[in-house]
Amino acid sequence: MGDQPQVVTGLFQTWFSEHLFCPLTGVWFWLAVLASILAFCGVLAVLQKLNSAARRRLTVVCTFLAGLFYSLDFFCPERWDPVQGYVQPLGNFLLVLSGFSIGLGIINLVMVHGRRLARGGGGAINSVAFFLGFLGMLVFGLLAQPVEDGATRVSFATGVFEVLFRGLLNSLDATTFALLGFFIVTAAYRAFRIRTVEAGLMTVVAFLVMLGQVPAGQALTAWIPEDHALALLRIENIQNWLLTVPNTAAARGILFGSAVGGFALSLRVWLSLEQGSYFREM
Amino acid sequence: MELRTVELLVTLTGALATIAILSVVFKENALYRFFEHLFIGIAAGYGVVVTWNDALGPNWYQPLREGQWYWVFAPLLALLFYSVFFPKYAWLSRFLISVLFGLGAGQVFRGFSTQVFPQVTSSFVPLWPSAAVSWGQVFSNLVFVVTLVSVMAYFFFSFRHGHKAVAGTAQLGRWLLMIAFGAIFGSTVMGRFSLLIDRIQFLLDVPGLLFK
Repeated sequence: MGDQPQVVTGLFQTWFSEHLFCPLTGVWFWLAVLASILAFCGVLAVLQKLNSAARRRLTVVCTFLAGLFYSLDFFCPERWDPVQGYVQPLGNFLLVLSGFSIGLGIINLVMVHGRRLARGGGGAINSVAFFLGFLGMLVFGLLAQPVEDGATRVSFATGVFEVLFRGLLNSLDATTFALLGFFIVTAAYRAFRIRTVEAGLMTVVAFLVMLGQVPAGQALTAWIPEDHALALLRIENIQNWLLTVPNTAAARGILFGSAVGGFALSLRVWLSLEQGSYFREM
Repeated sequence: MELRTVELLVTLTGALATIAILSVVFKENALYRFFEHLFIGIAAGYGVVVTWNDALGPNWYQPLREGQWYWVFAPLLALLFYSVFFPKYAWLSRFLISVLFGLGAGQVFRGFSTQVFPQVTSSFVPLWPSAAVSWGQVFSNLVFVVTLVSVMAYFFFSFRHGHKAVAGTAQLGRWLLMIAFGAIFGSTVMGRFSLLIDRIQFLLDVPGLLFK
């Protein structure tokens, strides 16, 4: 416990938690909720009145302040960090915010399949399958309880959830990814027919790595004793070396490049220098 | 519901789903498409269940029930995401996403220092043999450093690769990248085939599971 870093209280954090963000009960709770909703709607109404230039200015300022939050936390010495105490609450808030955003994807799926179902025709049965799976998992997933060790009976909701999760979702997931094996191999055959040095290198290394992972491949060099000086030529050792040395180094090179690129892009986003249409239309 | 019945249904539906998805190897067919859509539906539903159980339930609903009224701002703010469906208010979703981008940009400093810097220091490996470093290790270290430098040279676009030394290093980087991609490709294919072997083993075991 003594090794855990001390979290410094954020600027005004104590005042906020004692006077503003303190838990309420009964009618005071509901009044606070109602007041929050009204205040939020009021702010939205004011924001909606702003013209395009003001909206853009507001976005630039808020984006900068948002970026400044974590920058301050990183650059300030720990004992003078004015925002350190807010990092954990903000993390929780962002987790909840991202949780609520899942509805965007669900609405899109429901709109696509709802339209197809309304139109009828050949593909409608597939949309029925989508809705059956979605609603079934949603309802029984929320109602299901963990199966206790040694139990012989479970509730109906738990039973259906087990069938949907272990019987269908797990099997469909594993089989779909297994199917990708076929597609990768056939695509690779078309794409990497050995016509250049690069394609040749890639094919040979892929073949060696695959050979090194199967008993039949390992049997090819099994005659070399494991403690012999030439043991490094055993196929499983070559495979291991390829994965740990050139592969790691190349992945690290790519990481360094992408990290520097990401760093530059983050600075541009933070300072609102990014000039895409997405950031202009306000 | 008897647990034995549940296990029986799990095995039967699992076998049916596996056969339906694998059937596309021979030909695109209606059974495959039905189970493909069922998969999307179940996965989407499961996503919502996990989001509620792991994120919203313990971090939002529970505190709200305990009187922490200010958590009401989370769904209100999240509503801005949904303004994208209404053109008049769509700018609000862009506003929220821009602010989230800003937060993400601020986190990059920390990410850079915690993820990249340790890897930079660990890339300085011994290139000369000693009591602790064998010749074999030196060879591996040399390959590691040459690969790292040449791959970075290949991705360095700030100036033209006109000089022979730079162009040559970049070309070597290209070849070494192909070696790495080959290794990744081989591992991925073997991973996928491990899944396939597992599924086929499951299908072979189905009669035993049903009649045990």
